[in-house]
Formats: sequence, structure tokens, C-alpha cells
Amino acid sequence: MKTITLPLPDWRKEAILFAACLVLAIGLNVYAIATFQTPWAELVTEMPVVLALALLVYTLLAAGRIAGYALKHLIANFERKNTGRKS
Amino acid sequence: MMDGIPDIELPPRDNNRRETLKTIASAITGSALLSTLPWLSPLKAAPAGKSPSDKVRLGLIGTGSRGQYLEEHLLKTPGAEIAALCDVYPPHLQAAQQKIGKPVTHYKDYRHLLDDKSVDAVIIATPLYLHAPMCLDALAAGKHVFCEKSLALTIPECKAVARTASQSPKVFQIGHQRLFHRATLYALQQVKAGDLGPITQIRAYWHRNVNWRRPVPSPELEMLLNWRVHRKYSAGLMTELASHHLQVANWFLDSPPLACIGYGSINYWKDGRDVFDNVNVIYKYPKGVSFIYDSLSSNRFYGLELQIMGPKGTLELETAKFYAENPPPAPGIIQLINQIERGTLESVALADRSWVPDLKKDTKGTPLPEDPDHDDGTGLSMAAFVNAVRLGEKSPAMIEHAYRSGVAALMGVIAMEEGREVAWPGGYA
Ligand SMILES: NC(=O)c1ccc[n+]([C@@H]2O[C@H](COP(=O)([O-])OP(=O)(O)OC[C@H]3O[C@@H](n4cnc5c(N)ncnc54)[C@H](O)[C@@H]3O)[C@@H](O)[C@H]2O)c1
Repeated sequence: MKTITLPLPDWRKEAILFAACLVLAIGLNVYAIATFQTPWAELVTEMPVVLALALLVYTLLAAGRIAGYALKHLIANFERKNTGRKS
Repeated sequence: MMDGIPDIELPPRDNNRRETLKTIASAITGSALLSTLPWLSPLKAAPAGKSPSDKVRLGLIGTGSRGQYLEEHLLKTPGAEIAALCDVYPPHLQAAQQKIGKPVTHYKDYRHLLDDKSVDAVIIATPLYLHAPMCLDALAAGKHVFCEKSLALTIPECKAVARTASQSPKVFQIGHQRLFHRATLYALQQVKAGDLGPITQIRAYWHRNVNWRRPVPSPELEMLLNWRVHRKYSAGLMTELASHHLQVANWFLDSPPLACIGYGSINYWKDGRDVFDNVNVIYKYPKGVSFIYDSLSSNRFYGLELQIMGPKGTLELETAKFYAENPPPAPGIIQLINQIERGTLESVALADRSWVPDLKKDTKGTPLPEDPDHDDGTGLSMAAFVNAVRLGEKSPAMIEHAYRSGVAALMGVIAMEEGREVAWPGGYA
């Protein structure tokens, strides 16, 4: 069996990605406050919800990225095997 | 607080009951609401000292289930000393004696206890039919009186006791502990502040699934132990349970009922009882407000509740919650998430809103502050009684509450038994 070596996460890249998720969640909160005309204090009071939302988006992205990586790996393997048989 | 009614700043958790009472009293002093709650004012008194002259010597008449519960509270009440006990049933008397932990004078005949000059005040916790004779005899003997609810077995008896109590220089208090219940006091404050709008209806129910009987060691003890299910000694569910909620309705609506109608029957416990095992009564109050009451002995699913309703909100006093009719909207972000969820999950549009059944709203409500010691008001009512006796401070409002709730309960009984509308029989003066 072949060992798959996953690359170590690039912490800087991950932090930037999470920050982007956070900005997105804060943006959604601003949009929601303006749309539903609720108090602006919710920018602070709803921070736990915003953080949870950011984490959720980040986790979904991470899941997507892992799935993409695995798919890429499988395709590369498949192609390598096929090329080997031809030669 | 709106309408210039200040908050009753009841104290936080405090293990020292004496301190708690002092804090409550000082917090309500000067409150506009306090003038409408005169029975709380004895709680302002300085705590009783150690001197015997500062002690109130009490005689407990009726040492059954409620009598012993009151006794437990009295043993913790500053300034209270249980000086004598009285009961005709030795096992109850012995149990009460044991709780005190030292020998106390005891009597079988309450009149002998009343002759005891060292007793300042009596606590009456006997079956309903004995309330009137015992209260009248005790007041005649110059004793201060705390009588358990309900006031008496008949309306003429209610009148006689209330009249005698109001003419006597002695303190008279009734065992309606909701008058001292922290959450109920807050609820009253909310009503006065207009948080409900005008009260438009009060609804209460008290359901159990029990036969209300106790095991009887020998047949001659049936009436003594199971007095509640025999009409000669009891008026059944209305005086035993409904009187509590009627007292609150009279209090919050600031009036006794004008009239009532009702139906009752024995539809399940056909065991020789002659009090109804289910009661359903509607009371008419001024300004077109109704109080709707029902009580079952054969189903306990809904338990007990007292609901005070107005256009702006509902108070549920037994669970101590306030429900605004239009609760403040959820935070924007939550609304947005809900909207996205709905958009994804409910792709099939429902019909117009009016099609949706008006089912009960599933809102959480705002809890009313409860007593940190989980006192349902009984502890405070004992403390207030003891202090009222020490100060010689009578409360005519207390007599009025006793009279109005006692009579209202009996009006319901008469309405059901005679199948007619029963009008308020007037005051007792
Ligand atoms: N405020 C409340 O929440 C509350 C709760 C329960 C009961 N109560 C009231 O308390 C009263 C007593 O109820 P209970 O459940 O304790 O009943 P109970 O039957 O347990 O106790 C009544 C006691 O009175 C005694 N008694 C009967 N005749 C007597 C007499 N002639 N002299 C002296 N003692 C006599 C009985 O032997 C018994 O020990 C009732 O009026 C009831 O409505 C009030």
C-alpha cells in the first residue's frame, strides 16, 4: 500500500482564509442589522453567532479543499497507472 | 419603572433569613406599591431580640399535614416560639411534638389551649368546618389569629369571622401565601405598570390525578382523616384549591367577583364522596372581565396554572413567567439565518397567513424573580404574622382578602350545587 503524505498546513494561509470568513460573517451581520432594522449594538452582542458562522464557513471550505485535494490525488494516480501500461 | 411605581428590590440569595426579611422590608419601604400591600409592612420591624418578652408565644391548633409544614417554618422564624400544640389525633400531635425537639404543653381540646394565658396567638390548621368556630373562640379569648385558608365552610360563617376580626383589636391573618410570594409581587407590579395593558381575562386550573383520600387505620377515623371528601366538613376543590387562585384574581382585579355560574359533578371517583371531583366555574368581575376556573381529580396533564391576560402580554404565575404578546424580534443575524433556512427547506409555499391555525405560541417568556430560598410565601407569611403580633399591627386588607376569597370559593360551590347564578353577597360589616 502506498502512503499518502499530506502537506503540512500553511498557517499563514489558513489565518488569512479564516480572517476572510470572519469578514464575510461580519458583513452578513451588518447586512442583517440593516435589513431587519435591529439595534446596531448587535455588532457586539451577536459576536458569538458571527464567530460561529465564520467557523462554519471556514470548516465547509476546509472540507471542500480536502475533498478537492483527494480528488486531484486520485486522478493523478489513475493517470500515472494508465501511462505506465501504455509504455 | 413606569407610572412612578418603583421596583421592589427583593434581595439576592442570602442564607440568613433574618437579614433577608430586613432587606425585603427596607426595599419596599416608601414604595407606592407598599401602601397597597399593608400586610408586608410588619416585615420592616427590627428583628426580635433574645428576651422572652420579645417572643411571640404561639399555640398550633391542628398538627396535620399543613400544621406541621407551618410548624417547620415557625421553628425558623425569628421571634416565634411554639408554646403549645393541640390536636385530637395523637399520631399527628406526636409528630409535631418531635419536630420541636423538646416537650411542649399539648391539648386535645382547643378551648383549653385558648384558656392558656401564656399563649399570645394561635395558628389554626384544622379542617375547614372548624375554622369559623375556632377563629371566633380564639378572638373572643383575646388571641391573635392566623387561620389557614379557606376562611369558613359557609358564607354566613365567613361574614361572622370577618366582622369579628375587623372589630377585634387582635391581628387576624389568613393562610393565602401568594400574598407574600416574591414572583406574584413582581407580577402585580408589572400589571400596575401597564405591561399587560388592562387585564381582559384571568384563567386558572388545578388538575390532579388522585382520589384525595388517606388510608384509614379504623373506620371511625374516616371523617377525621378524609374530611376533604365529605361535604359536611369541606366544600371540596373550590375551597381547598380554587380559593388560592380566587384570592389572586380578587387582588389583581381589585374587586371581588360580581357573580358566578358553574357546573360540577362526580364523574370518576364514585367512592362515597359527596364533594365534586371536577369543578368548572366562571366568575364575572367588573369591566366585563371573567375569571375562568376548572379543576379535575382524574387527569394531571396540565397540572396547575394561573394565567393573567391582557392585550400586551400574559403572566403565568405558577411557573413565574411573563410572555409579551409581541416579543422583541430575534437579532438580525438570527433572522437572516432563519430566512435562509426557510428559503432552502420550505420551497412549497403555504397558503395565506389566515389559514395557519392559531396554535399556542412556543415562546420562552421572561422569568419573574423567584425567592432565593424557594419560599412560596409561607415563610414570609409566618414572619409577617409574628411581627404583626409583636407590633400589634392589624391589617384590615388581610381580613378583606380572607373574606373575598373565602366567599368567592363558596359562591362557586353554591352555583354548581344549585345550578344557578350566584351574586356577590355583599360585605361583612
Ligand atoms: N395554604 C395552603 O397552601 C394550604 C395547604 C394545605 C392545607 N391547607 C389548609 O390547612 C388546613 C388543614 O389541612 P391539612 O392538609 O393539614 O389537613 P389534615 O387533615 O392533615 O390536618 C388537620 C388536623 O386537624 C386535626 N383536627 C381535627 N379536628 C380537630 C379538633 N377539633 N381540634 C384540634 N385538631 C383537630 C386533625 O386531627 C389533623 O391533624 C385546611 O384548612 C387546608 O385547606 C392550606
